[in-house]
Amino acid sequence: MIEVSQLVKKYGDFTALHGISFSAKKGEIIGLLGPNGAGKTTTMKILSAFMPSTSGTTKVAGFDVFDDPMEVKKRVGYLPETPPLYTDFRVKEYLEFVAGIKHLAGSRLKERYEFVIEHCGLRDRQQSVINNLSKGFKQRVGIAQAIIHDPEVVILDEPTVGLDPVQIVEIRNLIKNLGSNHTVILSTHILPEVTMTCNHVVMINRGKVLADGSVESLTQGKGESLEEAYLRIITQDAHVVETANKGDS
Amino acid sequence: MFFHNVMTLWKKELRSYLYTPVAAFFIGIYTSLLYGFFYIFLQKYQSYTQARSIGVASNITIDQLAEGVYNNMHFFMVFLLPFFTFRLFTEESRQNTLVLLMTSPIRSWELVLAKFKASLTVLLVMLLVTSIFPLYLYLYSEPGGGPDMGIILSTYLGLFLVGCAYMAMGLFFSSITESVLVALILSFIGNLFFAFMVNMFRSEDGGLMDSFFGYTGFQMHVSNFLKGTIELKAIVYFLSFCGFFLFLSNRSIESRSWRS
Repeated sequence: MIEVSQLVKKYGDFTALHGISFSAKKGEIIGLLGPNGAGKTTTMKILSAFMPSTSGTTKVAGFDVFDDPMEVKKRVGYLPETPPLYTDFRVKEYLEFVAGIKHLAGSRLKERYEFVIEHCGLRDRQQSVINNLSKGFKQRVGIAQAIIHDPEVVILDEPTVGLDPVQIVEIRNLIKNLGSNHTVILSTHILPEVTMTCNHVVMINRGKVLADGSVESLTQGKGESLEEAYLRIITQDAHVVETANKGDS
Repeated sequence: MFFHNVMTLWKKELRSYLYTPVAAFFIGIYTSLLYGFFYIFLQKYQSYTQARSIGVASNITIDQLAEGVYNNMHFFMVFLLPFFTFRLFTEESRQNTLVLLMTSPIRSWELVLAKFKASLTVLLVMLLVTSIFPLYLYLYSEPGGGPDMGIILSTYLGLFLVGCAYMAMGLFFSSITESVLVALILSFIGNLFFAFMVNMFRSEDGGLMDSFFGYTGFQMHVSNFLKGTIELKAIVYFLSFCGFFLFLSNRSIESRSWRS
């Protein structure tokens, strides 16, 4: 469903991604982990065909994001870190507009609209102006727009930020449900969440993949929690860089 | 699909115009100013008719008087139209919605066209609001003294075309910056430049440079339209002016994702 190979992204002199490779099958929920500035958002922007990579290939649902961006865009739902909301609009108007630009119409639109309203818990907020919604509800509207067209791949950049514990559980269940017939990529800093939802973890730091596998394979089956594994892997990486720098000077 | 995409985006832009007070506020200002000018115009017209009725010779026609009103209208457009374009793309950047649009199966030029079309809808509303003036003159002027409908039509065609040009330029300026203020100021400068400043470079000697600046500026074309002269080259000039700025806007939006 997703194949990323040797992805490099340079912003001027700064290299954000140094050849990232990973892949995901249909029905997998991938947790993209890493410290701030590791390249998670950059990877997601490339996967959603928002921006091109400097080199390397990315295939989503069998289409290359560079050669066939339109086909990729039809099959991807993307929630960026800041939900892309028209704050003057009412929830219903906004979601219907998004459905329109995703080419939904008629009974299909109604059906999908009902689905996201139900599953994102927006039933009572359909007529609210988005600007007046709380952060958590804005986030739900953001998730709703990412899944309204029933995309094969759902990309969520920190989907549970700003939600209260009850909402987090709801959204987590929603993501789990999505995972049954979609491929979901999500990034988060809340590691227990990854243990609970994701069946595949890709850990990146400074634009490199440090670990790629199931949660069990990363925790080495030693009863280590994901948090401990994360700290171990990130510290190891920092140590490697330190010694490499010493070697240079 | 092209038609569907542009329609969906166009409807969204119209809704944004309705929901933000800016547009309604400036249409209000524009209308009240113009009605004020129209009132002054009617008084002038009345005094001329009175003068004529007591035998004082006056060769000023109703069309020449109306030209004054429509000149004012052009002048207002220079200052007011930027308020209808400055948010078109800057707001998409500010709300992060450009990401939504650019990751949806729509093409950037469909987006640019839809935004341009929405701004032209506002322009048409502005012109329609004033269409009551010629209608009033037509209905209430003395027999044979009404306005020349040919001149009125040419005037409206000219104002629409020059309005399109300002809108296209404003759209472009909103696409190159994320700041509404910068977009607004650049649009003012651009409008003033093409409306009036280009004329300052004219040497009035009829030479090559003189006619170049004469044709580049909008003043000459607009006053021709207001006098009832429809020139094909003026129409072509305004349309290619729009095309040029729409092309640049599209480029600017496309390059956003490459740069970010």
